[in-house]
Amino acid sequence: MQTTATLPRKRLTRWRWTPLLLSVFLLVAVMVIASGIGSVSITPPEVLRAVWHGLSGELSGVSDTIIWEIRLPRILLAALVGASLALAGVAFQGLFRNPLADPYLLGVASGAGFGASLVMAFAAAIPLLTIVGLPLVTFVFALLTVTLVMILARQGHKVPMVSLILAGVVVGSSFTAATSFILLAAREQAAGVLAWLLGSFALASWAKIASVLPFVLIAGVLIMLSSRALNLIQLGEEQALQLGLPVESFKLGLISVATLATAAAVSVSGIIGFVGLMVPHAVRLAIGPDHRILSPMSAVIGAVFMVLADLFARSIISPAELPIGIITALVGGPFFLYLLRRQPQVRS
Amino acid sequence: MSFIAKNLNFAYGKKVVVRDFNLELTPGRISGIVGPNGAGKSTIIKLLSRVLAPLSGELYLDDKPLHRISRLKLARQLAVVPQGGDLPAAFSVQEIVMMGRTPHLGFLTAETKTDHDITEQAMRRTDTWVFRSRPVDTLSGGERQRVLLARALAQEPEYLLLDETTNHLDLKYQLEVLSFVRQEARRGLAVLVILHDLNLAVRACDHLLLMQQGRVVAGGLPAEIITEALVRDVYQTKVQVFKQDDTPVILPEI
Repeated sequence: MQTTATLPRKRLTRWRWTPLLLSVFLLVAVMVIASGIGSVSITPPEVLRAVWHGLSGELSGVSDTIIWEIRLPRILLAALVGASLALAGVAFQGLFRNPLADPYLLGVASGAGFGASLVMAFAAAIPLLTIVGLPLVTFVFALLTVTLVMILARQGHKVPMVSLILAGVVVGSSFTAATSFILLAAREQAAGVLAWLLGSFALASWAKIASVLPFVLIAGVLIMLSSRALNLIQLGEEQALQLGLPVESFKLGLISVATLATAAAVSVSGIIGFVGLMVPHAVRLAIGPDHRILSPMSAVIGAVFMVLADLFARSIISPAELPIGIITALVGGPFFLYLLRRQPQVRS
Repeated sequence: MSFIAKNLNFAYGKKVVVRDFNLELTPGRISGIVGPNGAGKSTIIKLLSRVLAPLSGELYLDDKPLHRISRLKLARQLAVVPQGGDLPAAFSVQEIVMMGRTPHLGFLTAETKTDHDITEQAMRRTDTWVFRSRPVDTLSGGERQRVLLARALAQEPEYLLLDETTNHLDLKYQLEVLSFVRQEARRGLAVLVILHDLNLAVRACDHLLLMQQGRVVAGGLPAEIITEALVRDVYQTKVQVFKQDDTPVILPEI
């Protein structure tokens, strides 16, 4: 009896982490291959050698420089932003028990975008303010947005799925309009701000990576540590409380963390929509609802998705580039419609 | 060791749903609450499990005010089997039952062999072990209810509150759940059940409260409080009450 009882459990546990491991391998492979693709083709072994040279500080030759100075920062930044947005998506979807919640649809990204535009347009002349102020102001406006959206969406004690999305769209468009106003008001900076706003990794650098990495790491770790609590939230607030979760403070805390992850992503790459919606959802379909694996897996798949989307953005009309926000919207729009049609409670 | 509620009052807005409610839960005893719809029975469960805070009145768990105990600690001592509401789709039975270990594990520690053993036991005792890997959204109402019971057992509580748990169950499982609860009570569990079926209630409970519009209108030994006049009054319906081996049997007149 005992052996038959323990056997399937062990198999289940071992199997659980296999997809995560495979997707990490996938991410590394995609990053190496993407590094090789561009105006100059570089083979995977050469890519790896360039990375080695870069790490040991002995760059030699053109391909080393292309990889280490241009392509790798860009790819790493894309991966970080993808992971960050996907994690924010997991957290928002889990917290609101709403598969349509994502940093873009909730308006958080637009609010963050407004904050970042403000700094870029009016403080560009003061470098110190830009470096310190950009992430901070972005975060503050993102928090402001999420607070506004929650106040607007709340009906009594509940936050219905549709009103949450509607409030997100309304607040988001208001901030988008305000951002357009900034573009008009600060003409000299307008082109730069606009290019950033549509989403791009063209200006990636090691410095930018360093500026977002701490935020993404902190937010990522906190979201993953919240996995068991997020699972409890899926039972509904009443049962979560009865199982020992202080629901209100947990929600407030994790909303701030997910907002931080969003703001960090927006501050370096502009507004890239639908990643936070699609990735967690697809991963959930594939491996189930347990956040302990859903969160890390979404982060990795989000990174893979973003690296590929960026590869597409920079190579499809090369030497020109498409804004990456356009690509994710093209993929994400239909996906959103598909989800909307699959949710009976949304239509009714 | 006891759980005491003193003069609880609660209202949703202006609608008063609980008035001057008193209760004491002690180990080994099954207390029951019966009453018509809207009597405030489920609200009592929410007040006792701190989902809602009373407008006035006091709650003590082992002489400590309830609001001074952290939720996690409270969940180690007190478990609720909710009314068979919806469970999140796609989680397996085993995963749902394992959530009952959260109060002991906290939110960060990984579950150990002990936790697996405890949940396995809880599932075996509630007859849910056979379908442990099925997603909960494929279960029937009764199966879901037993999963929720298993989860509460996995919490290893000292106090168990069941909110109309027998509603979705057929006769066999209704009786099984109640005799199961009786066994647990003998082993020292303090139990509060909310029941709809008066006949089940008088058989299952050592102590019974009859509620009407937020008020306790009668409380005591089931055999002593259940009378024709009282049931007719509270439920606004004609019944006959006769005794069989000192236990009242309530027969509605249709």
